[in-house]
Amino acid sequence: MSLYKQDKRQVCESCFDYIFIEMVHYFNDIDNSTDKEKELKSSKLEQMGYLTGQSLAERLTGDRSRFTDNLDVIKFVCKDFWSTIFKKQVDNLKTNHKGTYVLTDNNFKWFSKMSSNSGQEDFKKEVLPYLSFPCGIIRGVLSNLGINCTVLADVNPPNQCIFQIKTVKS
Amino acid sequence: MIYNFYLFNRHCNCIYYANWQNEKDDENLNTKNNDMKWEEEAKLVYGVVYSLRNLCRKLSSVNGVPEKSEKDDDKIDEDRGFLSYKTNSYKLHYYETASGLKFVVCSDPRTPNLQDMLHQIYRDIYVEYVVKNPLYHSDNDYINNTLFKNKLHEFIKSQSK
Repeated sequence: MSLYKQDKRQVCESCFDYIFIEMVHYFNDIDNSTDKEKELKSSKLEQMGYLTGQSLAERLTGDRSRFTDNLDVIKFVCKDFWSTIFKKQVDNLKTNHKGTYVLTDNNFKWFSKMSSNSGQEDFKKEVLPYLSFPCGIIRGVLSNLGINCTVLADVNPPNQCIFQIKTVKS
Repeated sequence: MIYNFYLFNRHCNCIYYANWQNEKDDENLNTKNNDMKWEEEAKLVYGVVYSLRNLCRKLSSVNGVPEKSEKDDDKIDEDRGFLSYKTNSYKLHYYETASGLKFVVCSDPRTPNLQDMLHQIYRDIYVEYVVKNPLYHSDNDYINNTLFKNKLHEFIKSQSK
């Protein structure tokens, strides 16, 4: 089954927005948890993203021919995958041709309504927990398409998002 | 021309205040209001609005709550209870959501009904940039996020033209 077939199934965006917020809140009860617990919780979120990403990869590649190389896979992520999930393509893709890819999205959809209530300084710190899930998704997609990697993310206000993908040789 | 904007939550707190009257000199209003801190002013406004709303409800036979009739849409507006009041120097518009948020705007006395505009602020700006903002946790805090501020400012400017 594929998302591109006629009976396009849809999910209410507001529902997703709220569940995403609650998901992160649930795993990041910031006030009363130690650093170790926090790490555990963010890895749990990352794991959820990973599984989601794996399923999505399966679902979205149904109609495609096989990929030729890693760059082809990354391009698929930047174009088709990104526009299905985030309704736009990645704005910039950089690579050092040694297995590191940097994806820049200048207006990351999930963060487009995010704005700190306590000034710009705390913004990065507050946004951090929200990055685990999207990082997990990217890692999940890539791993299902044959690339083992680690994904790191960074944000710049207002809502530019940078994902750094480092492939791991297996 | 819109002078200022107040947003009150269910717990009677003013969670947002904005003022646009300083940019254009309107002498009557400036001299009177600037002597007062906005917090004080907001409390007074809340008192007025709250009492008027309750008064209107008590005097009205339908308890201030509109009866649902799909046929005559024009009537619904009239049944909504307290909507605005007008003095020589300004007009105050009031909009209350089902969840108990109260949107108040003061404007030029010649302004027509602003219910739709207030509803739009609620739907397109408050819900989008405050409710859906992951970094706003409690509904009792003053809204201090730049995105909301800018959007509201842009919207009001676009309406005042």
